[in-house]
Amino acid sequence: MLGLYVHVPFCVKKCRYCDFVSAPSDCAEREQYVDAVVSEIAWRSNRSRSCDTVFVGGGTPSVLTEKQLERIADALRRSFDIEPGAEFTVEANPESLTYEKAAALKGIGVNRLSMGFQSLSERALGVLGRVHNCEKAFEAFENARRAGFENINIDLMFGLPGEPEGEFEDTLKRVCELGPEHISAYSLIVEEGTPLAHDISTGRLPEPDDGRDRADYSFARKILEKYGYRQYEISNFAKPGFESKHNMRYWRQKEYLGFGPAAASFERGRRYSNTDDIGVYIKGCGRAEPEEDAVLSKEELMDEYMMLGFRMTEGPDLEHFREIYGVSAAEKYSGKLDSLEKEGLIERYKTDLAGVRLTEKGLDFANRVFREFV
Amino acid sequence: MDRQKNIRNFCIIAHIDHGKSTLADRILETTGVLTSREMEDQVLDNMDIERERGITIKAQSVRLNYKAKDGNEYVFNLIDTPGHVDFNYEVSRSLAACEGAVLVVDASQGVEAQTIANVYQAIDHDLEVVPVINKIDLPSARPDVVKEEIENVIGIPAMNAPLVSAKVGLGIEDVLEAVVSGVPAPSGDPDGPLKALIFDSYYDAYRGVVIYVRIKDGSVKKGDNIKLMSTGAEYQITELGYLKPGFKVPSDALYAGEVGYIAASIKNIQDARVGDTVTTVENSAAEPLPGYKEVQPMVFCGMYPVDGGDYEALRDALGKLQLNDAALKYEPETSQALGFGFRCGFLGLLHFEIVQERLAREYEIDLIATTPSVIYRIHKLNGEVVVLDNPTNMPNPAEIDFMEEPVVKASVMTPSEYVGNIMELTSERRGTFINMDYIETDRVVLTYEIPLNEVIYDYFDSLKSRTRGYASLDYELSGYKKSNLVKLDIYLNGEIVDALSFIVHADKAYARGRKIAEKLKETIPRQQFEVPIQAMIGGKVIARETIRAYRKDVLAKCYGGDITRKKKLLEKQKEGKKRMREFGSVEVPQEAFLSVLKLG
Repeated sequence: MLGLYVHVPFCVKKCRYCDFVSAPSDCAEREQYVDAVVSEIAWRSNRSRSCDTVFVGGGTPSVLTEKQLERIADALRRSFDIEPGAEFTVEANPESLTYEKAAALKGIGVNRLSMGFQSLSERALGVLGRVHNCEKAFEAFENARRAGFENINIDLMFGLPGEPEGEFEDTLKRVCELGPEHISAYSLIVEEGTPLAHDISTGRLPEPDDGRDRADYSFARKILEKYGYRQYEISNFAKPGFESKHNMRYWRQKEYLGFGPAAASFERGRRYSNTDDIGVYIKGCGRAEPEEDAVLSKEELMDEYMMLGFRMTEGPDLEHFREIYGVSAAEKYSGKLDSLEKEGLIERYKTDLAGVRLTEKGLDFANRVFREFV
Repeated sequence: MDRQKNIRNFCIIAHIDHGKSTLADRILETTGVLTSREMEDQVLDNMDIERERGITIKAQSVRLNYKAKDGNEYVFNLIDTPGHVDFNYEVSRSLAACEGAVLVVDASQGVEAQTIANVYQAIDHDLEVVPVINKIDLPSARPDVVKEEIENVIGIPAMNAPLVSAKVGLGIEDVLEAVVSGVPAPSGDPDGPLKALIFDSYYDAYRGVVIYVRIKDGSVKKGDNIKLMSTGAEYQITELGYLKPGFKVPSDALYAGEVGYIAASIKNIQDARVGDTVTTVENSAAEPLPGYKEVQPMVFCGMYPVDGGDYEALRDALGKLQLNDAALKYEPETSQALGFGFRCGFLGLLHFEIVQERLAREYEIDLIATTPSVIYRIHKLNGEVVVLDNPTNMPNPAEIDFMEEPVVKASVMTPSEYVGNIMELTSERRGTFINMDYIETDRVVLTYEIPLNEVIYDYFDSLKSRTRGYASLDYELSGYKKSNLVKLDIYLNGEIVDALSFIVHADKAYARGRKIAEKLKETIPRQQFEVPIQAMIGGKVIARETIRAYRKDVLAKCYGGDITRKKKLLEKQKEGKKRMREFGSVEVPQEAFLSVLKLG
């Protein structure tokens, strides 16, 4: 099975915290991009592999027109064997998700929407440099439901600079009341070189308070459970059966192909990325040489399996690990696992103690676990 | 025929930035050793660090052929010399191998503190000084004024000094002619017993220690059995020859007056001391050459491998560095905080930085250095005098009668408009004004006595920045003075970090302690628990900061597109952790130590 990812490197305006490959654009550039990505998809066509997940992310894919989104979806279907019940997600931001667009997405087979709310506080939206407001967010959610979407994710962020007590709680409760099937709640990471980082280093904004951040996180874990969401990854919560299949591919080290600027692909132990220069990508009609291209050794793959697997609340799937690599991870990594267990970062669970996962403390200090496997 | 008649051994001396290395390059080009196309800029500065910093640290030497206007062929041996005040001793090593020195003076800057210091050194070695005015292409050049300055301030004739622009290649022939006429030919005894002065050496994995020599008397050929006079060690010569830029030309013999290299499978680094005299076993010289004054390091600090497993590698590397860096001294020591390492002596902070950088680059050893210290004299009540170069060994204050610290006599040469700034800076550094001389209507020399421990920090840098780069500095140790000194200790999480202890004047302890505590707070990353930082004198806390605990360390997001990037980030963090040392479970990065060192 394969997963397909399409990167749409455009947005209405770049958010202040964002360090993804994305930029505002004009109509002509968007059209050229769609030509290029359609050509890339056709060029890398492989009808012999079936696909069970498709994810169109960004940037903000909803800045594309209905027609453009349809061309991409058609290209994917022509070039790959997409299973009938495949999960098909498109990311959409409130400011560009009209009812018409939602309906059109539904019409081309999209069955999951991921909406970038980030917050329902106008203050927080201002800090983040988002272009929408709360009202728009509710409106967009309403549009999606009206168009028939029954699997919706809402992205939220907490631990923001200057975040007053109760701000995130309030947002989270209101989102729970709205009742999306999936919620991603991210602890803000201030990425170097972003305007947000600049605001903080120059003192225009206070440093985020990590005490507040952890309080938010712990609140989120508690309240979401109450509303019937199960945490299945560090930042992801879903109603039963609504976990994102596509994102789980990444954490279970399954194969995927990425199209569009900066998109990464992973197949047969090789990971490679398209150029992140939109101009170069368009000029090369999506066929420029991959920029980062590495064949991972078995050792690297095994380490990576563990690192990614620990993101899941169930921990790395050790049976799957043995199937792929013919080695017992529990034995291979027994020393590391023992010392991480001693530090209280991970625990062995399941009746036969064959499972390992992050503890509550491990969720706060997961990087200390990850660093053992890079 | 007298071989020596057509030999000229000379070095180039100059104040830093007056264009010494550029002139050396032009000379190499003109004498056809290298064409400008082949030439890497500044051939003689062949360490990466030298090229990056634009300074010469190590003396290099090279043999050139020159057909002079008198129709004769001359052999030139050009020995390059360093320019920074920290490396004065290298200058003296080079001088001892020469009969003359080309003095380069910048046509717009004129005579500077080091110009004078270098000339006096040259004169001390009985060298003929051949002045050259460089950078005459600059619009601000004032060659006539500078000539007068050389005559008045230094007291050597300069009216016929060649006018040169090494940068554009102007007047280089004139310099070469001035060398022919101004530098005396060597006058050793060609038939006497061999006396060769070792002026440099380095370690070669295949040839053993290779020594650079100046043959004063006699001659030596391949296969000769030689004796190193200070140790009596004997070796047979496997190879000898001349030095060309970047490579060596083997020959059969070296004769009186010549400069070259000798390889004799010398495996024991200690046998080949710079400054020693080489003679032959068969026909030994009775007396060695005078050699050099042994260089005394003035600044000491502990150097510890970040990875304890590198201890042996560090010992080995220090041995090899010392071979061609006679001023570097080291002996083993242990620190509670840092484990096994070495107490090392340096000429100054720049020397220290260079050694540290060379260890990192050439030997790939990551180091933690402790706070530099000078040598204090502690007079105890029982009459005993303790010589202290490591603050950790400071006796109990109750046993101390009084303490003395080393002071230097410093001359600062500056345009007169900056006198106020310099006075202010120097009094902040506890300097005592001695006098002020006008060398021109608008240029003065200020003489101060300054405690060495104030000079070794960033006095030179501060001087440069407060005079927009115009002031120049030279200093020499002038003695010891009684002083009110205290030992300042740093505690992390309640435990003393002996590596950060230092001795400081009582009046400055409070400010220094506070600055260090602040700096450590900035450079030590947040830990899993709260870490108090305290600066203490005796049992008294004089400054305190707290590093807050971090409460999260987690990448909230990691999807397909950024797995590679996130892995790189984690790897970088892991590398960073490896470079930290633990003090009572507090992880302290190497940068924290360095940042404390940089505090003035």
